[in-house]
Amino acid sequence: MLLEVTNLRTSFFLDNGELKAVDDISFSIEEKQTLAIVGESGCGKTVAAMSILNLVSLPGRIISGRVNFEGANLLELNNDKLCDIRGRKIGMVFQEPASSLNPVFTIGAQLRETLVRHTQLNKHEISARAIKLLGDMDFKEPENWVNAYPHQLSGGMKQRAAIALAMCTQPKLLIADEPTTALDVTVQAEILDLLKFLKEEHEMAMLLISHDLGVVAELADRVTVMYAGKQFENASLEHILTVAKHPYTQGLLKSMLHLDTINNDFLEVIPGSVPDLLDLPKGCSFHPRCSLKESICQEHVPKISLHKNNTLCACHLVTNQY
Amino acid sequence: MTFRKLHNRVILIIGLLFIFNISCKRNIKLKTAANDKLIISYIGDERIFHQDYWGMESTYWIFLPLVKNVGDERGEIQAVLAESWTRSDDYRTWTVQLRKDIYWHDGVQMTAKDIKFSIDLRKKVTGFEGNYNCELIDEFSFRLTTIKPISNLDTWDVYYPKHLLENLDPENYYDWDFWVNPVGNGPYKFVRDVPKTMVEVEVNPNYFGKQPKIKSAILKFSSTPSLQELLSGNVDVLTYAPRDFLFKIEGDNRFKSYHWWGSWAQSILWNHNNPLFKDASVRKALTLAINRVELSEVLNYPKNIPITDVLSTRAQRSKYDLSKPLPFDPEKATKLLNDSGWSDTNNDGILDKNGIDFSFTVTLQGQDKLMAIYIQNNLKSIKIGMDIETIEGNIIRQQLEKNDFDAIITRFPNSELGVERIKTYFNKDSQIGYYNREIDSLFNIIENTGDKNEIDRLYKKLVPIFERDIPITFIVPQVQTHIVRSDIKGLSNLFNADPVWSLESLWIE
Amino acid sequence: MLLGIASLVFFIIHIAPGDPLDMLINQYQRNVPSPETIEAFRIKYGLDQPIHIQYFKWLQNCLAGDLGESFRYHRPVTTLITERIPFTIQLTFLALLFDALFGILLGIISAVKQYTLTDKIISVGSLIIYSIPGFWLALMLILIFSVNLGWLPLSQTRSLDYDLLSGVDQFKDRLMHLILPVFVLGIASAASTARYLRSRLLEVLNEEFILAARARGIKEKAVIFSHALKNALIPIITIYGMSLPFLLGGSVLIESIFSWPGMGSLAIEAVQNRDYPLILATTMMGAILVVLGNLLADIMYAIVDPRVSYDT
Repeated sequence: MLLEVTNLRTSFFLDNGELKAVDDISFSIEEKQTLAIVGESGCGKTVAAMSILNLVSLPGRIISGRVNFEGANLLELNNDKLCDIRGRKIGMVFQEPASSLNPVFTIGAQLRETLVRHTQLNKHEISARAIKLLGDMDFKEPENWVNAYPHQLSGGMKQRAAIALAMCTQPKLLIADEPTTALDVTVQAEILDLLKFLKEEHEMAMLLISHDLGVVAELADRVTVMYAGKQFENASLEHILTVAKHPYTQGLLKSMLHLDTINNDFLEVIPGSVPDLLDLPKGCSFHPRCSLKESICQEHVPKISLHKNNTLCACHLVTNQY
Repeated sequence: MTFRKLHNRVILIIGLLFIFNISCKRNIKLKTAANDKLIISYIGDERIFHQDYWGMESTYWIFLPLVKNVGDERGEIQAVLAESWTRSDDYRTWTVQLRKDIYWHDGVQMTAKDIKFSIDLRKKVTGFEGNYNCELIDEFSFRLTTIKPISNLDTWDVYYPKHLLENLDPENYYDWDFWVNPVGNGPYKFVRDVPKTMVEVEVNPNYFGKQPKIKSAILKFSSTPSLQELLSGNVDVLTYAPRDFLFKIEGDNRFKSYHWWGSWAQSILWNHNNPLFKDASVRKALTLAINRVELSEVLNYPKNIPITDVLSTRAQRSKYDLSKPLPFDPEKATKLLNDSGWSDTNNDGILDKNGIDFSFTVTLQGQDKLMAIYIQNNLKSIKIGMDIETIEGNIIRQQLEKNDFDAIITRFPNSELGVERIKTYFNKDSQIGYYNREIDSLFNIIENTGDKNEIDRLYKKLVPIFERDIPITFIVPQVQTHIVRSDIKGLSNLFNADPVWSLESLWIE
Repeated sequence: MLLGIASLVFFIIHIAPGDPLDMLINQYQRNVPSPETIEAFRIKYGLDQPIHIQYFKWLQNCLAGDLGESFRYHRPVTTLITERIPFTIQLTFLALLFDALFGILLGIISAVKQYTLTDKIISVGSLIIYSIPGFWLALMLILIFSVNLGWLPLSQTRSLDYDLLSGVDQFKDRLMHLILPVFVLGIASAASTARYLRSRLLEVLNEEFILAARARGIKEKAVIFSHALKNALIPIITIYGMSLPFLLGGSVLIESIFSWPGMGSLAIEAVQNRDYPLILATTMMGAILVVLGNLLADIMYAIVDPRVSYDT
């Protein structure tokens, strides 16, 4: 098991209360496996990713849980050791390519900085490696682009540069937080192809965060669904796409655009909106919007339970029938 | 309160107490100056000894005039560079013998050639013809001829070494390095300077006069008089101290203050073209209404300042040979005004006549504002409205030239040496609109008189005219104050109040 | 634009009431100059010419480097200025340096230690210092350190026996005299620099590229001093370009309190003495410096921020 997250809890302590951004999440990623965290905006998926690398900043705090990476609990490591893992063993790509690159340094400078930090190569080798990395990311004439500033690159190029930064040291795990959301559709495809290629080429595990099931379908092996900080379902991609059990997941799938649904007049939506995390409804946090709700849903928070085919689900209506 | 917060507050309080303590006044025991050195706070820069540039008393440490005023009430003059002299009966030709024991600081002997050179140089450079024409008679004597008769040889102009300056270009007169490294013939000679910071002088061993007891002096330059320097012992003398410093050192017996009042009188110039002031009894009334004695007390002037209503010579003032001034009598003032037709018919607190209020604006410079406010108050109690307007000195001069004012408070030259200037107030083109034939002709005579006693008599003739007319109200003389350490001796009010002027006669006890 | 400013200054000064020769004439109070003498002066200084001719002559002279002769001091204006500029520059340059070092340091500390006691002390402290009037602070410090404790000299640029000191001691002496004025001049702007840098730094630290850098395992020190600071300093550095007028113009208040013979006091004396050539020269200098300062700020902005470029 490359990465094992157990009972992770992260909250933000604001003036008006405790915001439970991540409330008891557990999942695991094996080597070379891709797990996708899916959910609507504000469900806590980004915070979960941050928590893995212990990058949550005030007023947020990781309250409890374990994040085992290659056997060691990342949450208990001292800062130095943690810094050694970040960037070297675990790489991260962010959503907005424009803001994840430092605007006053050249791409090359940022690449070289990371290489200096994590490798023992000499200056010459580092420069060569930086150029090679850019070449791998499909940059034409990388020796020129190495001296370019971020603002001189297009959106897609920026994201490719960001991926290059994350891939500097061929990490075992790549965390990609909504890597294509900010890009237009054609560029999205480029990036997805690149990610797929890198996964294969470097035998890399990936934690993909997305709200776009289409992207998920391309890359993921397993999917876990989050809602309002809680995990609702965790299963293989196939299972999710075909026989998803949780009403929320089902709703998500229905509201996706399919080629054959275009002729319909109405788009299926899940009624209502995501609840305020400071003021969650009693019981199952989804129950106000759930079409299948029962009285028990209003009273008790559903516990996550294991079902057949290594599926996890948190719903009162999905009993342990299997 | 949590311990942390209490802890912080205690620290804060202790910190504040500490600051309070060290900022409290402390009477520093002043280190006694080296018995022979004085440090004087002065306004100037390293060219301070150049008379045409700064014109300060310190010039006389290095350079000397022909004669100078003896510092007492006789007002006589004392020979300095001149050994003896004779004059023609018309007081216009003076034959002078130079002392033969004067040596410049570089050892060269001074001769009459230096005198002629200096006079000619000054004419060339300043463009003022001055009064003199100088003719050499022999190596140590010369003849001065003047256009107008003069009662005494000039006490102001100093003389320079021809052998050092004759080859310099007069075009750059003010830029000459000589002024930073002066070579003179005075009791002190230049030692060194630190640019913009100080100059140091020490006693001239070849001085022909009595050797001064103070062996060296330093002028420390500052742009404004600083009491801090004095209080912290950095300087021993503070010259031209403003009035409020006196309040701060009251009762502090480490320091003493000395005052000098000279020819200038703070006065109110009434514009006689303004119908309000045309009448002499009105002017008298206004003067009666001002409590000049109390005003000088309020301004913290020395106790026996001469208050006068008339022009006088320096000697007359120093001997207090003056007629009594108008007293402070507001009732008489009101009576005089009523007799002139002024009364408060509409009960608005201001006298009026024929529908016109007795109110006017007095213009003055900012530094006289305190005085003006006091006067305003005095006049208010006899129901006269006076507004105060502070403007720049140059504007006042302009107002005078154009006769565009109601009344002006400024200093008036009250000295027989400035007759040229004074008479412009009383002649046909009088800037205050007051042409008095008697005064004008008297001044014309005075201008052409050389005999001091005769001038004295002529001035006495002015007295009844002024007393009758009160064309100008003289408030108080202008006073200069110097503050020195108490162990510096040899100073006295009025005649020896300026430590720089009197340096050669001072000593430290 | 400079021409416009020059013209404006020239005409305003000449419109101001008061005869320029007044100062000249009344300097020699003992003698009342005859009308002929006054005329001679007028002709000598070219004041009898119609104003537009005076204006052109003045411009011509300026461009040739001749700023005229001071009415009060009778010495060339350029000499007066060059005598005083070194003193001013010593003071202002060190003050700016103090401002930069101290301000940036404090800004970084208070941003990094946000919400802690250190941060609060620095923030409140800098607000207090920023609000204190400069002259009050100067007088208080003089009172405490010069008069009561006697640790630092009261005023002026060097001691009275400067000439007699050895070379090393001379240097130390000048330094001692510089301490108080530099501190007073620098501390207020250091306080505002600290506050400004703190807020800029906090802004920058919340940006995603900082998070990305941390996620790459870059050590915190490098994150702050390299990634964050370089971004945060951009507006601050450009502001330093604007301090050019201050650098060469000095501060009138501080110079007056410390009897510092600099450009500031020269300018004020010029106005008080109605010394036209000097007033014109110092005002023009000030105007030129402001324009140059703005230009400098723009240039620095282009240098420091790679996103900004001017078409050459």
